[in-house]
Amino acid sequence: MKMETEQRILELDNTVYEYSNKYQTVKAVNGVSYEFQKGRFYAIVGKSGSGKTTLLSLLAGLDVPKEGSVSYMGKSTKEMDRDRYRREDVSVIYQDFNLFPLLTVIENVMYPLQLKGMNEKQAWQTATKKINAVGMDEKFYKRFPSMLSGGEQQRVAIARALASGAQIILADEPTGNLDTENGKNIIGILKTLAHDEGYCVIVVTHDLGISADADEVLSMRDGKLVIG
Amino acid sequence: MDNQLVQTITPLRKNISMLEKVKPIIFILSAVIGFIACMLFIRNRKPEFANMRSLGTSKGLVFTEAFFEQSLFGVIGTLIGIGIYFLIHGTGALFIAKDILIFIACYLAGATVAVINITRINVMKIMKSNE
Repeated sequence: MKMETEQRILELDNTVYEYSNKYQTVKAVNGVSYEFQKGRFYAIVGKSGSGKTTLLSLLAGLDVPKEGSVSYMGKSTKEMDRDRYRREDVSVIYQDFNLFPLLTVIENVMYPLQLKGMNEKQAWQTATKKINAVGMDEKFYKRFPSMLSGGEQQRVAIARALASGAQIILADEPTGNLDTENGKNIIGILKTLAHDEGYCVIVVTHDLGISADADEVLSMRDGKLVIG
Repeated sequence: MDNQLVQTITPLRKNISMLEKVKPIIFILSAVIGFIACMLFIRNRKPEFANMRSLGTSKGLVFTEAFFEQSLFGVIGTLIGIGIYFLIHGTGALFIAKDILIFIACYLAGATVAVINITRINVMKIMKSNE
Protein backbone atom coordinates (compact mmCIF):
# COMPACT_ATOMS: atom_id res chain seq x y z
CA MET A 1 0.00 0.00 0.00
CA LYS A 2 1.51 3.32 -1.03
CA MET A 3 1.20 6.08 1.52
CA GLU A 4 -0.22 9.10 -0.23
CA THR A 5 -0.53 11.42 2.69
CA GLU A 6 2.46 12.65 4.59
CA GLN A 7 2.05 13.37 8.21
CA ARG A 8 4.22 15.08 10.76
CA ILE A 9 5.31 12.57 13.38
CA LEU A 10 8.42 13.92 15.05
CA GLU A 11 9.38 17.53 15.60
CA LEU A 12 12.48 19.30 16.81
CA ASP A 13 11.83 22.81 18.06
CA ASN A 14 14.89 24.94 18.73
CA THR A 15 16.49 21.90 20.33
CA VAL A 16 19.67 22.44 22.29
CA TYR A 17 21.80 19.81 23.97
CA GLU A 18 25.13 20.51 25.62
CA TYR A 19 27.79 18.48 27.33
CA SER A 20 29.77 20.02 30.13
CA ASN A 21 32.95 19.08 31.84
CA LYS A 22 35.33 20.91 34.16
CA TYR A 23 36.91 22.83 31.32
CA GLN A 24 34.27 23.54 28.73
CA THR A 25 30.70 23.32 27.59
CA VAL A 26 30.04 21.93 24.12
CA LYS A 27 26.75 22.46 22.33
CA ALA A 28 26.41 19.12 20.51
CA VAL A 29 22.99 20.13 19.19
CA ASN A 30 22.59 23.85 18.79
CA GLY A 31 19.12 25.24 18.18
CA VAL A 32 17.88 22.62 15.72
CA SER A 33 14.33 22.86 14.36
CA TYR A 34 12.88 20.34 11.93
CA GLU A 35 9.77 18.26 11.23
CA PHE A 36 9.97 14.60 10.28
CA GLN A 37 7.08 13.00 8.45
CA LYS A 38 5.65 9.52 8.11
CA GLY A 39 6.45 7.68 4.89
CA ARG A 40 9.75 9.47 4.36
CA PHE A 41 13.32 8.24 4.35
CA TYR A 42 15.77 10.72 5.88
CA ALA A 43 19.55 10.64 5.91
CA ILE A 44 21.47 12.68 8.46
CA VAL A 45 25.07 13.11 7.40
CA GLY A 46 27.97 14.90 9.00
CA LYS A 47 31.50 14.54 10.24
CA SER A 48 32.40 12.70 13.39
CA GLY A 49 31.57 14.92 16.38
CA SER A 50 29.08 17.03 14.45
CA GLY A 51 26.25 16.01 16.80
CA LYS A 52 24.52 13.32 14.70
CA THR A 53 24.46 10.66 17.37
CA THR A 54 23.40 13.12 20.06
CA LEU A 55 20.52 14.15 17.83
CA LEU A 56 19.59 10.50 17.35
CA SER A 57 19.75 9.99 21.11
CA LEU A 58 17.30 12.86 21.59
CA LEU A 59 14.96 11.55 18.87
CA ALA A 60 15.05 8.10 20.48
CA GLY A 61 14.09 9.50 23.88
CA LEU A 62 17.33 8.26 25.39
CA ASP A 63 17.98 11.79 26.53
CA VAL A 64 16.09 15.07 26.66
CA PRO A 65 17.17 18.46 25.33
CA LYS A 66 18.49 21.11 27.68
CA GLU A 67 16.49 23.73 25.82
CA GLY A 68 13.73 23.54 23.23
CA SER A 69 11.90 20.29 22.62
CA VAL A 70 11.60 17.02 20.77
CA SER A 71 7.95 16.13 20.24
CA TYR A 72 6.31 12.91 19.09
CA MET A 73 2.84 13.47 17.65
CA GLY A 74 2.79 16.86 19.34
CA LYS A 75 3.85 15.62 22.78
CA SER A 76 7.23 16.59 24.19
CA THR A 77 9.57 13.76 25.15
CA LYS A 78 10.26 15.68 28.34
CA GLU A 79 6.68 15.15 29.46
CA MET A 80 6.11 11.59 28.36
CA ASP A 81 7.05 8.17 29.71
CA ARG A 82 10.17 7.75 27.57
CA ASP A 83 10.55 4.04 28.34
CA ARG A 84 7.09 3.53 26.91
CA TYR A 85 7.96 5.76 23.95
CA ARG A 86 10.91 3.49 23.15
CA ARG A 87 8.80 0.36 23.64
CA GLU A 88 5.98 1.46 21.38
CA ASP A 89 6.77 4.42 19.18
CA VAL A 90 10.41 4.42 18.20
CA SER A 91 13.00 1.74 17.42
CA VAL A 92 16.73 2.14 17.06
CA ILE A 93 18.98 0.04 14.84
CA TYR A 94 22.71 0.19 15.49
CA GLN A 95 25.80 -0.37 13.40
CA ASP A 96 26.83 -3.25 15.64
CA PHE A 97 23.37 -4.87 15.49
CA ASN A 98 23.19 -5.18 19.29
CA LEU A 99 21.18 -8.37 19.43
CA PHE A 100 21.12 -10.30 22.70
CA PRO A 101 23.89 -12.88 22.18
CA LEU A 102 22.34 -15.54 24.40
CA LEU A 103 18.89 -15.34 22.82
CA THR A 104 17.98 -17.01 19.54
CA VAL A 105 16.78 -15.02 16.53
CA ILE A 106 13.13 -15.55 17.38
CA GLU A 107 13.68 -14.76 21.07
CA ASN A 108 15.43 -11.52 20.13
CA VAL A 109 12.46 -10.47 18.02
CA MET A 110 9.99 -11.63 20.68
CA TYR A 111 11.72 -9.54 23.36
CA PRO A 112 10.02 -6.17 22.61
CA LEU A 113 6.68 -7.92 22.21
CA GLN A 114 6.91 -9.63 25.58
CA LEU A 115 8.11 -6.36 27.07
CA LYS A 116 4.79 -4.91 25.94
CA GLY A 117 2.99 -7.70 27.76
CA MET A 118 2.17 -9.98 24.84
CA ASN A 119 1.91 -13.68 25.72
CA GLU A 120 4.46 -16.14 24.35
CA LYS A 121 2.23 -17.69 21.67
CA GLN A 122 1.14 -14.34 20.20
CA ALA A 123 4.67 -12.99 20.45
CA TRP A 124 5.97 -16.06 18.59
CA GLN A 125 3.42 -15.61 15.80
CA THR A 126 4.12 -11.90 15.40
CA ALA A 127 7.89 -12.43 15.54
CA THR A 128 7.80 -15.08 12.79
CA LYS A 129 5.88 -12.69 10.52
CA LYS A 130 8.42 -9.92 11.09
CA ILE A 131 11.38 -12.24 10.52
CA ASN A 132 9.79 -13.46 7.29
CA ALA A 133 9.13 -9.85 6.27
CA VAL A 134 12.87 -9.15 6.23
CA GLY A 135 13.51 -12.13 3.98
CA MET A 136 14.51 -14.77 6.52
CA ASP A 137 12.75 -18.09 6.86
CA GLU A 138 12.15 -20.52 9.69
CA LYS A 139 15.56 -22.15 9.46
CA PHE A 140 16.92 -19.00 11.14
CA TYR A 141 14.48 -18.91 14.05
CA LYS A 142 16.51 -20.95 16.49
CA ARG A 143 19.94 -19.76 15.51
CA PHE A 144 21.97 -17.55 17.82
CA PRO A 145 23.28 -14.20 16.52
CA SER A 146 26.84 -15.55 16.47
CA MET A 147 25.70 -18.11 13.86
CA LEU A 148 24.55 -15.36 11.46
CA SER A 149 26.39 -13.13 9.00
CA GLY A 150 26.44 -9.36 9.54
CA GLY A 151 23.70 -8.82 6.97
CA GLU A 152 21.51 -11.47 8.59
CA GLN A 153 22.05 -9.98 12.06
CA GLN A 154 21.06 -6.55 10.76
CA ARG A 155 17.90 -8.06 9.25
CA VAL A 156 17.06 -9.54 12.64
CA ALA A 157 17.64 -6.12 14.21
CA ILE A 158 15.20 -4.64 11.69
CA ALA A 159 12.68 -7.42 12.38
CA ARG A 160 12.98 -6.61 16.08
CA ALA A 161 12.44 -2.92 15.35
CA LEU A 162 9.33 -3.76 13.32
CA ALA A 163 8.01 -6.11 15.98
CA SER A 164 7.63 -3.33 18.50
CA GLY A 165 5.05 -1.69 16.21
CA ALA A 166 6.95 1.59 16.29
CA GLN A 167 6.29 4.00 13.42
CA ILE A 168 9.71 5.62 13.67
CA ILE A 169 12.86 3.71 12.84
CA LEU A 170 16.16 5.36 13.74
CA ALA A 171 19.29 3.79 12.38
CA ASP A 172 22.82 4.69 13.39
CA GLU A 173 25.21 3.70 10.58
CA PRO A 174 23.15 0.57 9.81
CA THR A 175 25.43 -0.49 6.97
CA GLY A 176 28.70 0.41 8.69
CA ASN A 177 29.64 -3.22 9.37
CA LEU A 178 28.27 -4.68 6.15
CA ASP A 179 29.67 -5.29 2.69
CA THR A 180 28.28 -3.28 -0.22
CA GLU A 181 25.77 -5.92 -1.31
CA ASN A 182 24.32 -6.46 2.18
CA GLY A 183 24.38 -2.72 2.79
CA LYS A 184 22.27 -2.14 -0.32
CA ASN A 185 19.80 -4.83 0.77
CA ILE A 186 19.40 -3.28 4.21
CA ILE A 187 18.87 0.18 2.75
CA GLY A 188 16.38 -1.36 0.31
CA ILE A 189 14.40 -2.82 3.22
CA LEU A 190 14.44 0.51 5.09
CA LYS A 191 13.32 2.40 1.98
CA THR A 192 10.48 -0.03 1.40
CA LEU A 193 9.38 0.39 5.01
CA ALA A 194 9.26 4.16 4.55
CA HIS A 195 7.66 4.33 1.12
CA ASP A 196 5.34 1.32 1.15
CA GLU A 197 4.52 0.88 4.82
CA GLY A 198 4.54 4.48 5.94
CA TYR A 199 7.33 4.32 8.51
CA CYS A 200 9.40 7.40 9.25
CA VAL A 201 12.96 6.16 8.74
CA ILE A 202 15.86 8.33 9.88
CA VAL A 203 19.36 7.06 9.11
CA VAL A 204 22.53 8.60 10.48
CA THR A 205 25.36 7.81 8.13
CA HIS A 206 28.72 8.64 6.62
CA ASP A 207 27.79 6.67 3.52
CA LEU A 208 27.08 8.98 0.61
CA GLY A 209 25.38 6.10 -1.22
CA ILE A 210 22.66 6.04 1.43
CA SER A 211 22.12 9.78 1.24
CA ALA A 212 21.59 9.41 -2.52
CA ASP A 213 18.69 7.06 -1.75
CA ALA A 214 17.10 9.34 0.84
CA ASP A 215 14.05 11.56 0.32
CA GLU A 216 15.69 14.25 2.42
CA VAL A 217 19.35 14.71 3.26
CA LEU A 218 20.14 16.69 6.39
CA SER A 219 23.68 17.68 7.26
CA MET A 220 24.89 18.24 10.79
CA ARG A 221 27.62 20.83 11.15
CA ASP A 222 28.82 21.95 14.56
CA GLY A 223 25.52 20.98 16.12
CA LYS A 224 23.41 22.73 13.53
CA LEU A 225 21.17 21.06 10.99
CA VAL A 226 21.49 22.09 7.37
CA ILE A 227 18.98 20.89 4.82
CA GLY A 228 20.34 19.47 1.56
CA MET B 1 42.63 -27.22 88.47
CA ASP B 2 40.68 -23.90 88.51
CA ASN B 3 43.88 -22.05 87.89
CA GLN B 4 44.64 -24.25 84.87
CA LEU B 5 41.12 -23.63 83.52
CA VAL B 6 41.48 -19.89 83.93
CA GLN B 7 44.85 -20.01 82.19
CA THR B 8 43.31 -21.86 79.27
CA ILE B 9 40.15 -19.81 79.02
CA THR B 10 41.68 -16.35 79.40
CA PRO B 11 43.55 -16.30 76.05
CA LEU B 12 40.55 -17.91 74.38
CA ARG B 13 38.32 -15.15 75.74
CA LYS B 14 40.80 -12.56 74.56
CA ASN B 15 40.77 -14.06 71.09
CA ILE B 16 37.00 -14.22 70.98
CA SER B 17 36.74 -10.65 72.23
CA MET B 18 39.19 -9.55 69.54
CA LEU B 19 37.21 -11.40 66.89
CA GLU B 20 34.02 -9.68 68.09
CA LYS B 21 35.78 -6.34 67.59
CA VAL B 22 36.90 -7.37 64.10
CA LYS B 23 33.39 -8.51 63.12
CA PRO B 24 32.14 -5.09 61.94
CA ILE B 25 35.21 -4.82 59.73
CA ILE B 26 34.40 -8.24 58.23
CA PHE B 27 30.83 -7.09 57.57
CA ILE B 28 32.03 -3.88 55.93
CA LEU B 29 34.46 -5.96 53.88
CA SER B 30 31.63 -8.23 52.79
CA ALA B 31 29.72 -5.18 51.54
CA VAL B 32 32.81 -4.05 49.65
CA ILE B 33 33.26 -7.58 48.25
CA GLY B 34 29.57 -7.59 47.24
CA PHE B 35 30.05 -4.29 45.45
CA ILE B 36 33.28 -5.27 43.69
CA ALA B 37 32.11 -8.78 42.72
CA CYS B 38 28.85 -7.42 41.39
CA MET B 39 30.56 -4.53 39.62
CA LEU B 40 33.05 -6.84 37.90
CA PHE B 41 30.35 -9.27 36.89
CA ILE B 42 28.00 -6.61 35.60
CA ARG B 43 30.67 -4.55 33.83
CA ASN B 44 30.85 -6.98 30.92
CA ARG B 45 27.10 -6.97 30.60
CA LYS B 46 26.73 -3.21 30.20
CA PRO B 47 25.90 -3.52 26.47
CA GLU B 48 23.14 -5.97 27.30
CA PHE B 49 21.61 -3.64 29.87
CA ALA B 50 22.02 -0.70 27.50
CA ASN B 51 20.27 -2.74 24.81
CA MET B 52 17.42 -3.47 27.19
CA ARG B 53 17.09 0.23 28.04
CA SER B 54 17.19 1.11 24.35
CA LEU B 55 14.26 -1.23 23.72
CA GLY B 56 12.24 0.47 26.43
CA THR B 57 12.90 -1.70 29.47
CA SER B 58 12.42 0.51 32.50
CA LYS B 59 15.27 1.27 34.89
CA GLY B 60 13.27 -0.54 37.56
CA LEU B 61 13.06 -3.76 35.55
CA VAL B 62 16.75 -3.64 34.65
CA PHE B 63 17.54 -3.09 38.34
CA THR B 64 15.26 -5.95 39.41
CA GLU B 65 16.75 -8.37 36.93
CA ALA B 66 20.37 -7.50 37.70
CA PHE B 67 19.77 -7.40 41.45
CA PHE B 68 17.89 -10.72 41.47
CA GLU B 69 20.72 -12.36 39.55
CA GLN B 70 23.40 -10.96 41.85
CA SER B 71 21.38 -11.89 44.96
CA LEU B 72 21.05 -15.42 43.67
CA PHE B 73 24.81 -15.66 43.18
CA GLY B 74 25.44 -14.21 46.65
CA VAL B 75 22.98 -16.53 48.36
CA ILE B 76 24.14 -19.63 46.47
CA GLY B 77 27.76 -18.80 47.32
CA THR B 78 26.85 -18.37 50.99
CA LEU B 79 24.86 -21.62 51.04
CA ILE B 80 27.85 -23.48 49.62
CA GLY B 81 29.98 -21.90 52.36
CA ILE B 82 27.47 -22.93 55.05
CA GLY B 83 27.37 -26.47 53.58
CA ILE B 84 31.14 -26.76 53.88
CA TYR B 85 30.99 -25.36 57.43
CA PHE B 86 28.35 -27.98 58.30
CA LEU B 87 30.52 -30.75 56.91
CA ILE B 88 33.42 -29.62 59.08
CA HIS B 89 31.67 -28.42 62.26
CA GLY B 90 28.25 -30.13 62.19
CA THR B 91 25.34 -28.14 63.55
CA GLY B 92 27.73 -25.47 64.87
CA ALA B 93 26.76 -23.38 61.86
CA LEU B 94 23.38 -22.66 63.50
CA PHE B 95 25.16 -20.53 66.12
CA ILE B 96 26.42 -18.14 63.49
CA ALA B 97 23.10 -17.82 61.62
CA LYS B 98 22.77 -14.15 62.65
CA ASP B 99 26.25 -13.39 61.36
CA ILE B 100 25.48 -15.15 58.08
CA LEU B 101 22.35 -13.05 57.65
CA ILE B 102 24.29 -9.85 58.35
CA PHE B 103 26.95 -10.98 55.85
CA ILE B 104 24.30 -11.56 53.16
CA ALA B 105 22.66 -8.20 53.96
CA CYS B 106 26.03 -6.42 53.63
CA TYR B 107 26.83 -8.26 50.39
CA LEU B 108 23.45 -7.28 48.97
CA ALA B 109 23.91 -3.68 50.09
CA GLY B 110 27.17 -3.60 48.11
CA ALA B 111 25.48 -5.27 45.15
CA THR B 112 22.63 -2.72 45.30
CA VAL B 113 25.07 0.18 44.89
CA ALA B 114 26.70 -1.56 41.91
CA VAL B 115 23.35 -2.31 40.26
CA ILE B 116 22.05 1.24 40.80
CA ASN B 117 25.23 2.43 39.10
CA ILE B 118 24.55 0.24 36.11
CA THR B 119 21.01 1.55 35.65
CA ARG B 120 22.46 5.07 35.21
CA ILE B 121 24.29 4.13 32.04
CA ASN B 122 24.42 6.39 29.01
CA VAL B 123 22.76 4.01 26.56
CA MET B 124 23.87 5.61 23.29
CA LYS B 125 27.47 5.95 24.48
CA ILE B 126 27.64 2.25 25.29
CA MET B 127 25.93 1.18 22.08
CA LYS B 128 28.40 3.33 20.14
CA SER B 129 31.44 2.15 22.07
CA ASN B 130 30.55 -1.39 21.02
CA GLU B 131 31.17 -0.48 17.43
